[in-house]
Amino acid sequence: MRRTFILAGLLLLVLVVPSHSANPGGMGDSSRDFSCGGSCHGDPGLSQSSSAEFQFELDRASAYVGGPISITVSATGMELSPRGLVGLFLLADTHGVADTPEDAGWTILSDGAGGSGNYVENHAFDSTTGVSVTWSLIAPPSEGVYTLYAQAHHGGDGSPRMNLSQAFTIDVGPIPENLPQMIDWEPMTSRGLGETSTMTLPVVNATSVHLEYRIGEGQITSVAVGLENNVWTTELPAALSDIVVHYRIVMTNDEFSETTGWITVGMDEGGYSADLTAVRLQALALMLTSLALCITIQRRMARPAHSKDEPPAALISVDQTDILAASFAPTTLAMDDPRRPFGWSDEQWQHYGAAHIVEHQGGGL
Amino acid sequence: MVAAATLHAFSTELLIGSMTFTVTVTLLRLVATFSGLFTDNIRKGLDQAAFFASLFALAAIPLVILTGNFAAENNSTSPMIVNKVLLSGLCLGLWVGVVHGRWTWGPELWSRKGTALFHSAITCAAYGVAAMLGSIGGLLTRGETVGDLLGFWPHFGSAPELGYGLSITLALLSLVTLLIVIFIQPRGEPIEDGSGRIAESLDQ
Repeated sequence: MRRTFILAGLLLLVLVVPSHSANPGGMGDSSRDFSCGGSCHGDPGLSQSSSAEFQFELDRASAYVGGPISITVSATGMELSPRGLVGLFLLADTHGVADTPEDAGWTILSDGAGGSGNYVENHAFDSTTGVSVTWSLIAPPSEGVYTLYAQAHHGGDGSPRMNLSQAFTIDVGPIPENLPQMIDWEPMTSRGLGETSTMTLPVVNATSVHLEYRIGEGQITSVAVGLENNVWTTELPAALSDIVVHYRIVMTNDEFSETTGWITVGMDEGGYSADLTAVRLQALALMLTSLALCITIQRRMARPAHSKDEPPAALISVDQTDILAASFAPTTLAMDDPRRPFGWSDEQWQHYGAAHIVEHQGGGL
Repeated sequence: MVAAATLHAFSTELLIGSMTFTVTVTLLRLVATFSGLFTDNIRKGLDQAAFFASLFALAAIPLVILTGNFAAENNSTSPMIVNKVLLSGLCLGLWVGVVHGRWTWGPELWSRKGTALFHSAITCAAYGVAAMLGSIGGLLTRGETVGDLLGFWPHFGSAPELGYGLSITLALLSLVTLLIVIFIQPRGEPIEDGSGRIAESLDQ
């Protein structure tokens, strides 16, 4: 009967195991392959499909080779966990590995969240509003029709969920002659609080260049970029609080006006850095010290307690009584000293008097 | 190819499992010391189970540290990972102390309340440090920790910044301390049980 209860209890424990949740706190913005979903969201035994619907939006009809383009991906209608966290991927294919836009030749200038990865996490207020991410890209270096996908990872109803969008194609055409453009540009996407950012812009074929920036979704401010020694250089004003700043570069000449996508500037976190070798040495010090403490207490406690009245062994080994007695002992004793015991001879008092005084009267003259 | 993070999760589960077992059995043995519960055979079994589980955990700790080191990204820029490295050293030191205590005192450590209490205390302390390490891991990978249910659980969002020179000094001082303890401090005598039988000791 007891065994039956035990078995029933164990079975009950197995049955009440909650449905799996992958990483409810998210994994952080980064550059990730489609296979990131392989362990949690992609496992059909753990994950369920999402009801997310995707919408793609471009800031221009087509892109030029090496030219800028911004793509906004919106996901709505998905189930949501209490946290409302939704991760959006921008992918070039769905093979599972080497499928980020960079692997297909795209360059991600900005992910709209202060980074340049293809995976961004956002909190959705509700499933109707959903989440939206704008990636600012540089088109691949060769012409063609390129395919992009979006993928959403999120939780909902106690399970990890994922959904993949339909393929979205973008035509990348030849560069028009004399088109203003940026060459091998690595935009600034993060900086410290209160830092003014000086930017060097590798713009070619432009007669004038402007820096446009805005705070959040606020008004756009335009600043002319100066040309000094054939280098376009400008400054983005410092942010005095933790605000979201977006900027873009507008390049013009007589025929064209070309604009990069909006690039989001994030704040550097804390600026903490530590020498890992030093940290390992500190860990070693902690290990050795704690071990030394344990061993010394263990050895101390292993000593036998012979008697409660007996002084500890360590004190016995450094017993200084004789030395103290000698130092306190009088060098000469008066023959008429009142402490001299009755019946002692002079010779006896000279030799043993000092020891007698220490033993019976605490030493000293 | 298995990722370092997966190996780290695997080895961590081995470590925490064996440590949890060690702590549970050690506490049961402590209760037996103070209350007189259990038969001699059960007491002996509890002691040996705790000892071998602690040896297994000791073997797993270096594996966890190594795989965690490979799995971590930007080790030097995250205060939480720096704290993890520091606490790993403390955990390893305490756990070696646990194994050393049981090894040198032998099973008769349970015959004295003082040694039984101390052994149980450092076992629990080492397990507490391991729990903090797991909590940091949870914060790094999942953004939350069960420790959040406890109001006092630390988050380790900041870490000490000691220079290279001071770190070397600390490491050397601790090494000297350990050498003094091992070679100069008088060694203890074997613990006798209540019947007067001397416990086996390998610390002689």
